[in-house]
Order: sequence, then C-alpha cells, then structure tokens
Amino acid sequence: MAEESDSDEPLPSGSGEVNKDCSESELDGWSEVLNKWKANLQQRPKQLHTLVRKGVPDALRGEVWQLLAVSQDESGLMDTYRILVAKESSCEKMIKRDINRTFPGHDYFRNSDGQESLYRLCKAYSNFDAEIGYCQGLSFVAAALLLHMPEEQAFAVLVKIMHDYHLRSMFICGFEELYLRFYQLERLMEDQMPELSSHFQEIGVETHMFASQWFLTLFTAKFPLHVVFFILDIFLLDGIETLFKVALALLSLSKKELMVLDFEGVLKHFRVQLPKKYRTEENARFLLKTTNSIKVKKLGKYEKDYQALKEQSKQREDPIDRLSRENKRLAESNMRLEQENDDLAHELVTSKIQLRKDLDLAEDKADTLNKELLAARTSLIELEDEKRRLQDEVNQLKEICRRELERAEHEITRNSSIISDYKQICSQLSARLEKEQQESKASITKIIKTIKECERCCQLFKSEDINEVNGSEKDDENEFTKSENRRIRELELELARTKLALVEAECKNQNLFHHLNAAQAEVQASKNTWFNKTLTSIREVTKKELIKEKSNSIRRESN
Amino acid sequence: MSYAYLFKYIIIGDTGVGKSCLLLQFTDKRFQPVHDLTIGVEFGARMITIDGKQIKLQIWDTAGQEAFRSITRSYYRGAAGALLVYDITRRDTFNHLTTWLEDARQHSNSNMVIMLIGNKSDLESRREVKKEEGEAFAREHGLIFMETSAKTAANVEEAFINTAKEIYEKIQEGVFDINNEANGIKIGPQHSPTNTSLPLSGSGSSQGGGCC
Repeated sequence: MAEESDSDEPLPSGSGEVNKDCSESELDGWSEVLNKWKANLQQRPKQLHTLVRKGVPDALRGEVWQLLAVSQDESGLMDTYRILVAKESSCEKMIKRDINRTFPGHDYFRNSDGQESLYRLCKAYSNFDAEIGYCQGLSFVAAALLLHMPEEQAFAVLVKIMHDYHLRSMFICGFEELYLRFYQLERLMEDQMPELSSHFQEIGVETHMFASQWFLTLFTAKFPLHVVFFILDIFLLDGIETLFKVALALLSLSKKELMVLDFEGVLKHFRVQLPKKYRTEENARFLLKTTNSIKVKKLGKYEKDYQALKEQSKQREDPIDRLSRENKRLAESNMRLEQENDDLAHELVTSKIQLRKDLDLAEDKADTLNKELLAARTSLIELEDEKRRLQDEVNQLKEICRRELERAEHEITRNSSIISDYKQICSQLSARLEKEQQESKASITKIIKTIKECERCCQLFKSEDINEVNGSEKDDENEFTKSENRRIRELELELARTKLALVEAECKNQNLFHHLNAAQAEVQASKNTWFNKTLTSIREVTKKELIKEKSNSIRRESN
Repeated sequence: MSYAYLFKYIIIGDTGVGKSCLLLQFTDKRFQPVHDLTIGVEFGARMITIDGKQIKLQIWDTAGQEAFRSITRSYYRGAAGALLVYDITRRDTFNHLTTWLEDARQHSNSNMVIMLIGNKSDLESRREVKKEEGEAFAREHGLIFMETSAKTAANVEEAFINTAKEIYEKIQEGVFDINNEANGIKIGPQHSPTNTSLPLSGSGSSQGGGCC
C-alpha cells in the first residue's frame, strides 16, 4: 500500500499547453461566424453551437470566450478591475498562499509573471465580491482564463462566470447549492447509469467525494489543459448543466473500470487514472463528443425533490431538535465571535503593552537626553564664563600694549626733539666757529697787511717778532681750534648716543607692536577655533535636544 | 488485501499548514514542495501494523479554508481519528486551534481520538510556536501531541500510528462501538467482532482523547 509506483502520481493541475497553431480551413469557418457575431453581439450565430462543440481553436479562444460570456462590451468592468486591483484586500495573505499551488504543472504559473498576474486577478475579484472574497477553487478558473487573455478581460469573464453563469451561488450559504448539484448528479446517475450508481452505493462512494472539486473549479483542477479548455468552451456556451454533462461523460467513459473497483480503488481512480486518461488528444476529443451527446433532463424536478427532501427532514425533526440545532449553530457562531473578540482583545492588550514599553523606553531616553542637555547647558555656561575671562584678559593686554605704545611714541617724540635741539645747537656752533675763523683770518690778514705796510715793524717782525707774533698768534689760534674741535666731538658723541637711544626706543616700540599683534592674533584664533566650535556644537546639541523633547512631549500627548 | 480493522481519519487545520504533505509523506513516503491546492477533500490510504495486526487507515484530507468547514463537517462523523494540524512557523494557525477543536468535537462522535500536530518542525529558525505551548494546549484539551515534519518525514509515521494505537486501545477497553460504522471503525472481512481481548503491546501514552 505504502509503496506506490510513479505512475500512481496524480497529474499536477495545469498540465499541457496552449497551442496557438490553427489550420486554415478551421480559421475560415470561424472567421465567417465571428464576423456575423460581431455585427450583432446579442445574437449568437446559428453555426456557433456546432463549431464550439468541436472545440474552439486556441488562437481564437480568448476572443470567443469573451463573446460567449458577453463580457467584451463590459469596458466598465475592465475599468473597475483597474481600481480594484490597486485596492488592498483582506484576503491577500490567503491568496498568496494558494498561488503557487494553482496550475503548478504549467510553466507560466511556475514563474513570477504568471503568479503575480494570477494574484492580482484573484485579489481584484475578492474586492469585487465582498460576500465570497476569495474562495479556494476560484484561482484555478482564473488561471485557465489568464492563459487566453489579459488580466482585465479575464476579470470581466470571471465576473460573468461567477454571476451570470451562477458559479458563485455554489460558494455561498455554506455551499448549499453545491449539495443540490450533488443530489441532481446522483439522480442523473440513477437514471442514466443505474449499475454504477448502485455499485457506488454498495461500496459507499458518494458524489461529494469526487465531484466537489469538479464542480467548484469547473473541472479546471486536475485535468490536462486541453480538456479544461474544451469544458470551458461548452460551459460558456451552455451554462451550468455542462457540469452534469461532463461529470456523466467522465463516469460513463470510466464505467468499466469503476465497476470493478472497491471504495479506495474508485477514489484513487478519480484522483489519478481518470485525469491521466485524457492526456491524449484522441481521448479528450472522445470525452468532448460524449459530453455533447449526453442529455440532461429533469434538473428542475430533481431540484424540487431535493427541496422537498430537505423540508421533510426538517419536518421530521423534533422542533426541540431543530431549535437545539439552531441554538447550537448560534452558540457556535457566538463562540467563534467570542474567540475572535478574545483574539482581538489579546491583540489589543499586547499592542497596549508594546506601546507602554515603547513609551517607557522613549521616556527613559528623554530623561537621559534631558540630563545630557542639562550637562551641556552647564558646560556652555562654564565655557561662556571662560570666554568672558579670556576676553577681559585680552582687553587688559590690549590696554597694556596701548599704554606701552603711547609711552614709546612719547619717548620717540621727546628723543627726536632733543635730537633736533642738538642739531640746532650743533649748526649754531659750527656757524659761530666758521664766523670766528673767518673773523680771525680776516684780522690776521689785516694785521699782516698792516705790518707789511710798516717798514719798521716789518724789520722788527722780520727778525724775531714776526716769529714770536706769528708763533703766539698761531698758538692762540691753535688753542681755540682745538677746544672747538673737542666741543664738536663731544656734541657728535652725544648725537650718536641720542641716535642710539632713538634706535633702541624704536626697537622697543617695534617689539611691543609685535607683542600686541601676537596677542591680537591669539585672541582672534581663540575666538575662531575650539572655543567657537565648542560653542556651536553645544548650541546644536541643545537645539536637537529641544526638538526631541518637543516631539516626545507631542507623542505623549497624542498617546 | 485483508485487514483486522479499518480506521477512518480526517486531517484538519488551517490552510497551508501541510495537511496534504503529511498525508503524501505517510502514504507515499515522499515530499512534494510544489503540489496542488486541495479543493473539497482528498483521499489517501495505507496499511499499518499494530500489535501484530494489519490495520487499514483511510484518511480524508480536507480543505483548510474557513468557508470549506461546512463541507469538511460531513467527514467528521465517520472518523475514528483526527489529526489537527498547525504550522509551528505561523502563530495564527495555532490560535485557530480552539475553533477547529470546537468544530471537531461538535460534529464527531465523542470518542474520536484527536492528535494535535505541530508541523514544519524542520523550520526551526522560523518557529513562532514553542513546543511547550503545543504540549500545554494538548494537555489542556486532552489531545495527543507531536511535532512533525512532512518534509523530513520526522514523526510523520509516529503521528499516524500513535493515533491508531490510541484508537486500538479504546477498542480493547470497549469504549468504541465497533459495530457502528459511523464511528469510523470497521472490522476486517474475516475478523470476528467478539475477539477483543488481545493484549496491547507497548502502546504510547493514554491520555484519553475526546473525553470532554
């Protein structure tokens, strides 16, 4: 039992291909019908039924399906799609989980393009149909449509299938209508294949065991794609009774095998062999032919019977039982709602706790930041004090420099006045000296002249006096010149000393200037560098803290 | 193939927890990462041996979506064992256990053995539900509990077999009415229904499922 061979593996859904090749003659037949049809969309052309029952060529399927579903002129639906697909859906998670489990047998739905397209289509439908939202099974129908047309058009056809073709009524009210369909199928089997029907009864196989998947997905899950497309062709042509026709065709074509199988064998046959059997084109065509040949009658009668049966069982039921069942049902939904309520309350509490935690954390952070801010402020004050102190110092230094400069300038002016005085004295002295020299020269020449003029004197002078006079005069002259010269030298010396003092004073002055400049530069530098930087950074930090604090307080208020 | 007993099981739990993969691992001993979505119900069967007896397990694998519960419900009645599965990597599937359990208790026979399964135990790094939480839930509601991995096959065999042992034990104790097929138990074609005094060898814990 445990070891199943590979051939026992069921066929994955979506197995097969879309074959866009189409023979010329086939196309010719269709083009005539399509032209007629497009001229009057409301009226299906006569030849259409025969053509569709042979199977629509893949190349034309997208168009023909839309025409059959009368979805082509539904541009409103396509616009709706664009709006709905952009909306969020409460079913998103659920849909996502099912996407890679839909048509895993087809390449397009194994890669992200196809999966995303299918996801969007299912999501848009879930937004369109609030009552159903997303129901498992829909994704298969949607995927089959997407293999033949773009999303918007597939959406319009899907909406038509669900509403106009009444597929959606099987999904609602706890699948009530699905059970009616099972009953109708059972009755049809009794009518048309009584042996198989009694065999199933004998071994305990009930219709819902194999047909729920068939009906809810319109046979799109499990079967090879060409069969899926044949079935959709006829479904879109004839509507819901196609489900019975196909089901009966499948059962009658497998009747021989099913008759000899037990419970497990039958179920396995439905799961594995039956879908695989139609992988060949030939068998698929035969299935199509058989489906077309099956007549489905008395569906209305069976429906009435089903309602009557339901009513009977209701009547048979003790009113107390009915009420208790009703009560049970209500209690059940009550319980579910309570559970939901509990879950929500739990969620609320957890999120509250989380928020409280977050708030605490934020408050802690605000505290530490406040502390930091305070520290920054004190350090700012300290630094400002320091700055003030330094500035005072700088001012003092400036004052000192200024005073020193003044003093130096004063000295310079005094020195220069002294120098000029000396210069004046020197010039006066040299002028007097010159004058006196000239005067003495002149008097000497006068004396010499007078002597020369006097012969006696001349004689006298000639002998000794001249020498004497000459000598004494010369001595006098020499004496005077010497003292003048000494004086000049002294004055010159003093001048040199004064100059030296001036130079020294200038040097000192210059030095003081340097000091002053350096001090000023230092002050400037200290202003520009660390001090300013510290100040700016402190200011920034303070600003940030203030903003944070503000936002925190706002948050606290909003909470 | 003859068997001493036939037990019917039902596998329930939220969508995507790995119900179909558990069934496939048990019946076919393989794991299929990409597989078809279950619509309605699927069916699987396998023979096991307990206490030297051939026991046939027929297992209904159900669709997990909430909407399908009305379909699933019709399968509870004929089941002797239920595997209630959640995904250890998704907390919400664990949170929904209570509603699943309510549903199961309401629509099944009171003796149905329920095995709670925390599946996907191979995904330890993504675990959201602790093993202890599963154990506590099982204890509280009188269920058997196991963590399994349909991917690595860890505990899968045991989960199905321990459930069968529990059912077998209950039969021995005379709790199950084995003549009523609605209980999900059938006696094999050649088996005498009165032969119930067999000793039970090394069966697992007996916390008595479905007692409340």
